[in-house]
Amino acid sequence: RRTHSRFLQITVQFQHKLARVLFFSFITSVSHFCRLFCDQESQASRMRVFAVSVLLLALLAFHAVLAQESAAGGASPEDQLEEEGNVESEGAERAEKVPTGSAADSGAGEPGMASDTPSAEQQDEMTKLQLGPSDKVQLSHLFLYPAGAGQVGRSLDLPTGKTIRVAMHMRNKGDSTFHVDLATAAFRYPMDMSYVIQNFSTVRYHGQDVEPGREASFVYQFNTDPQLAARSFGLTVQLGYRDAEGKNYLHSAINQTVSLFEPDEGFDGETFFMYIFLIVLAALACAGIWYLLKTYTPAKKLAAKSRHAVKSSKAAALSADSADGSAPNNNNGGLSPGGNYNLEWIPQQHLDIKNRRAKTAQSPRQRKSPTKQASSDASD
Amino acid sequence: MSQLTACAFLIGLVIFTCGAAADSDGGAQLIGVKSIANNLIVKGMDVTVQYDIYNVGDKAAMNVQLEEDGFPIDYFAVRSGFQHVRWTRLPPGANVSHTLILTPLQTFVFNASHAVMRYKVSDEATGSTVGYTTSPGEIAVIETADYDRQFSAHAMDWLTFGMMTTPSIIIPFLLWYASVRKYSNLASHSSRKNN
Repeated sequence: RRTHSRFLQITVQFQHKLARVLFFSFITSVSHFCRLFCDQESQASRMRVFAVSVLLLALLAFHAVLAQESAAGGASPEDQLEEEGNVESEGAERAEKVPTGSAADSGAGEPGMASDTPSAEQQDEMTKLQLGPSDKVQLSHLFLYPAGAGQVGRSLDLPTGKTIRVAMHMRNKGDSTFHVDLATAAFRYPMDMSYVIQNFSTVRYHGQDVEPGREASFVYQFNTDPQLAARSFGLTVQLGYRDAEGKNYLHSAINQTVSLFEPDEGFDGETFFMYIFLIVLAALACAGIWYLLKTYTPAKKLAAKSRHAVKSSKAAALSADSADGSAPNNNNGGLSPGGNYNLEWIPQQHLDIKNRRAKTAQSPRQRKSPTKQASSDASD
Repeated sequence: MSQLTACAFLIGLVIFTCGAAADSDGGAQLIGVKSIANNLIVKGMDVTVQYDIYNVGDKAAMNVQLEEDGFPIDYFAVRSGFQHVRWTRLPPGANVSHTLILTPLQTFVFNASHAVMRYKVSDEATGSTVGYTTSPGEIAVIETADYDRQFSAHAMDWLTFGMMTTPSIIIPFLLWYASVRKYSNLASHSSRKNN
């Protein structure tokens, strides 16, 4: 147990360090990307930067979730082990303090923690305090859920996370009426049945009368915690009753070792939706990678295509001018020669090269008045 | 002679132990579980009471009788099932179940107590053994109105709601429809004129 917890500690610390390193690297990369983002000129490169940053963020988030889960998973068994250790030590202290308390009452008096084995005097005190069965009462039991548990030839295996129902049968073989008050159960340490690990709730039967010679049935149910799977306990289910004089008895109907197992559920909603979530994450990652590849690899081809398109559109415009626009085959269906964009949307004055103003044209700032410019144009 | 007495003594011992075994253990043991199958018990609606009897003894129980007198006639009407049931024989390890369906006639808090089983622990037993089933405990019967408030279809409520909200839906719709028709008519007239 100790080596296991140490290993968990080490892995958890490693996860924490890795998470810290990743976090700082992410911060610096975010700042770099911000700068890059603002410096980008074209939409495509900005999208590239954005996609890469989103992917990195997803990776970090995934790792952070994993780290948290492992930390929680590593912490909780650790905590459990530590808690159990504490509980065990506290229980041992309590068990040892009881005999010292009673011994102090009787006058023996031992300070602090007693020795491990109580002395004979302390054991007598304990048996006086404890309640026992009455020999006039005969108890038997039957497990209602799970049905057939603990019968001859089958070991007593109980599922975890379920409500266990047990019926107890009491036969009064004495001469006086018994009044049944309560039933209680406990999980104890199998090697030492006086050491209680978990107490279950007490069910009250409100003093049900069982006359001499008669029998009665009582149902008791309790829930097993899912965390206790694959462990064995000593199960005691006790019926508390009193006789006509008022003397109390505590009679064990069940006092045997049980082993808990985790029942195999057919369909687990959690697992199903977890698989869906993972598939969607994988698809998202694939989509991101595909998008990156699409924007990065054919960059040269795209640039070449756009340049070629501009040249061929100029050539088409020139040829259209020279041939008086009577070359329907060269129009390419209204598209640019490269087929990338639709030329019909562009006003003709931008495609006509001849009508472009010469390089010696004035800038609009130097224009005196629109009327003067129009007259100068007309004169040209 | 000594051999004879020894044999007699041995046989007597055997018979004695057999008899002793029959007296102390062996024989049928019946566990009776009485449970109410409903989650809610409503006045005027069915309550299902289920009795399960298990034989955990070594021998068959003979002449098993189940007597249920815990539901007074003023408070519960029996819809289906019997309150006094009899089975001839219940083998060891077997179980039987019986259902009783009642209808509560009033709204009250009721203490459902145990039913009584009578049976003979074996063929040779002289008298019947009386056993008590489990008790479900206190059950509260609630009013039909409370049950309906939670679970009924509320058809009348929905109808009333529909009727009350219809004006605020119909009136804007009619206005819109009139406008659409008028302007689509105009558009079709004008297009016909143009054409």
